[in-house]
Amino acid sequence: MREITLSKAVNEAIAEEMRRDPAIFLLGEDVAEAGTPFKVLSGLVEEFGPDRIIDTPISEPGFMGLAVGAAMTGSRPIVDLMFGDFLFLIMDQLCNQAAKTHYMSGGKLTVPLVVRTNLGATRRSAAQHSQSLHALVAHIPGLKVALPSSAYEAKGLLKTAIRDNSPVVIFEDKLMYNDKAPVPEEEYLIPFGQAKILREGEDLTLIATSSMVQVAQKAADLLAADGISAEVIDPRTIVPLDEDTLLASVKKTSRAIVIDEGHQSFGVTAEIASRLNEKAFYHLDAPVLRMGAMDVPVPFTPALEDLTVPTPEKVVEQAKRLVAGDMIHAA
Amino acid sequence: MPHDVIMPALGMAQDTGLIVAWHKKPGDRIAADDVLMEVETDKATMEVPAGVEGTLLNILFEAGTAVPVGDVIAHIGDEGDADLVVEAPAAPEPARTATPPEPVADEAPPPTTTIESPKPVKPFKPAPVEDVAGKVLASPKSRRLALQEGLDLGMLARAGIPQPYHVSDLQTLREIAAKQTNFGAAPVTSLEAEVEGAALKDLRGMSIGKDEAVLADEAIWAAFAASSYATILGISDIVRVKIVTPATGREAHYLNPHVGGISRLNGGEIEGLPDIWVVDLTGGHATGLRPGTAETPILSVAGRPGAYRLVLSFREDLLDLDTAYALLEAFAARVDQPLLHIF
Repeated sequence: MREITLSKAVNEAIAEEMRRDPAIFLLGEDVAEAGTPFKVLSGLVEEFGPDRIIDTPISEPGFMGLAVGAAMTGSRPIVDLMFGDFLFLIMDQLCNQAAKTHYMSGGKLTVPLVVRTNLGATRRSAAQHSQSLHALVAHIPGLKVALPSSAYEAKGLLKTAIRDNSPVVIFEDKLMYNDKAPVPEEEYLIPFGQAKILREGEDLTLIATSSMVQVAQKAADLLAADGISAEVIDPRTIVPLDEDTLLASVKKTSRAIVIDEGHQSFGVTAEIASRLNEKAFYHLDAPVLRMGAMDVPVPFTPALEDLTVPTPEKVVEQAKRLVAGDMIHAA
Repeated sequence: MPHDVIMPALGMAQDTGLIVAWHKKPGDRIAADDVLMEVETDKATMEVPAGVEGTLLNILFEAGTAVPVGDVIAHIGDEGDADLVVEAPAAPEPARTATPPEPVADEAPPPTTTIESPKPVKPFKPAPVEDVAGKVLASPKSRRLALQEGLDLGMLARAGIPQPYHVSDLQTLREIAAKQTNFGAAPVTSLEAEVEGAALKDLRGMSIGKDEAVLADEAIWAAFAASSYATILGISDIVRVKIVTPATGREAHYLNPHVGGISRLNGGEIEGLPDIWVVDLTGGHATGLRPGTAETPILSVAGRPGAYRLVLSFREDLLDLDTAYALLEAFAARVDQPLLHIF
């Protein structure tokens, strides 16, 4: 199978969907003539013209509001939010308007829009351009949240997001745009709410999202060398969350670490760990551990920035403690 | 399948045992009651029988080594295992915790993430966790499985195996439980003593005059039992005493009544087993109680001032004879000369 970059996979997903459905248009900063963020959208304005690939002023609240209105009245906009950190600017439009319109209109209105944005640190972009804020939107009922972990995932999940009649926020890892993966030529969709078991194992389950899937896979390799068999699962969407697959795995292995690049406190790792605790308690042989980004603004200094995110070595260290039956956080 | 020989818990407060000598060498045929080794605890040196019949396959720790209670120290196999015999004692264990490489102080951090070998993980369990109000610390899954199999996780705690427990500890628990089932409950040994105790009445009048006489007696026995227990077993923490008076049907618990006077006696509820159980038969015709089981040492006090009879019953797998003897002597000495207790 051919291998393409994550960047190219996203580009293909948008182009294929826009060819299929004329109601789809894309808007954002620097998406057309001004050059495209992370070179993801190259070639789209040439094919679809400036009426469907729209450069906006530097005003996220403005173009997000425009997109919500367009979605409510029959269009299917894709909002390109250049950095996930800019979510703070569009919170009212996204969380108070887009997320609630279907419910508050008694089902008469839908808001079929996609916010395409990104997450991930270690790009030396400092505290305001390095955050992983997916937990913020996952907290709001009415929004779906997809976290692709490869080029294949990015294409399949984005196409599903575009066809969904609810608002969807999809986060790409900004360090993975040049990572290649096998992606079939023929069309495919990845359904929401279906986790993917990337590697089967017996001793513990590593549940990892987005950028952390690679970390978990490397950790599993290192653990295998020491005779510890780790199962690696990518939930793919955190809203909806495929609890069944996660619970079945943890019931099998009796141990789990949840790894996600959002800040550890009050985040995705906490939510998943809590559900495992509630629903698989009597199958647990060790506490479910969370591994997220350190609870600090992401440092600009490279040496410090690298310390704030989970790494394969840190995962291995924690996994060995769980398997050895160490007292975790003894009172 | 080879049988694991573990360092036994010979005393109740024992963490490690020193192997003084091996009486068998690998390849020897052994009967279950043959003496396999001598083990020294902080109390005494004892000869330890093999417990199972077979061939000694190997010895994992040489004489002179102190080994944590519960660790495997040798293997005994049957005829099918003969080819597993290892003649020489295993090489001494490597250092228990490897030292991570010293970081070079002035070296700049690597610019990109490199895969370093992860820090060595401690190969041994951490030190035993203190009992939290008599609770046994165990994972939810190990609790569920133990419950389903009708196993008592407390047996692991009493065998001196460090907490918390996980599914991997259940095999040890099954073996301990099977042993107890196979031989019935471990046999109970009793030691008896007679003591005058004429001076006790002075103590009663002196220290607890304001209380009812029955309470005074009960308090005195509880305090004596607790302080004897604490002194002989070297307990500096809480000692939990249960006291039963069959004549009145009264049952009471006391916490921490050891050391010093009776005034420090506190009533309280006990979760789980007490450390020592006193049965007060004084004033009646009964001369002593010899129970069929004794999960915890049971001391009966019978007779009357001038002629008290004491019976201490205990399981030798939980409390060794030397310790039991010292415990009974300590109690009798307090009955005989209450001033010993006060000072």
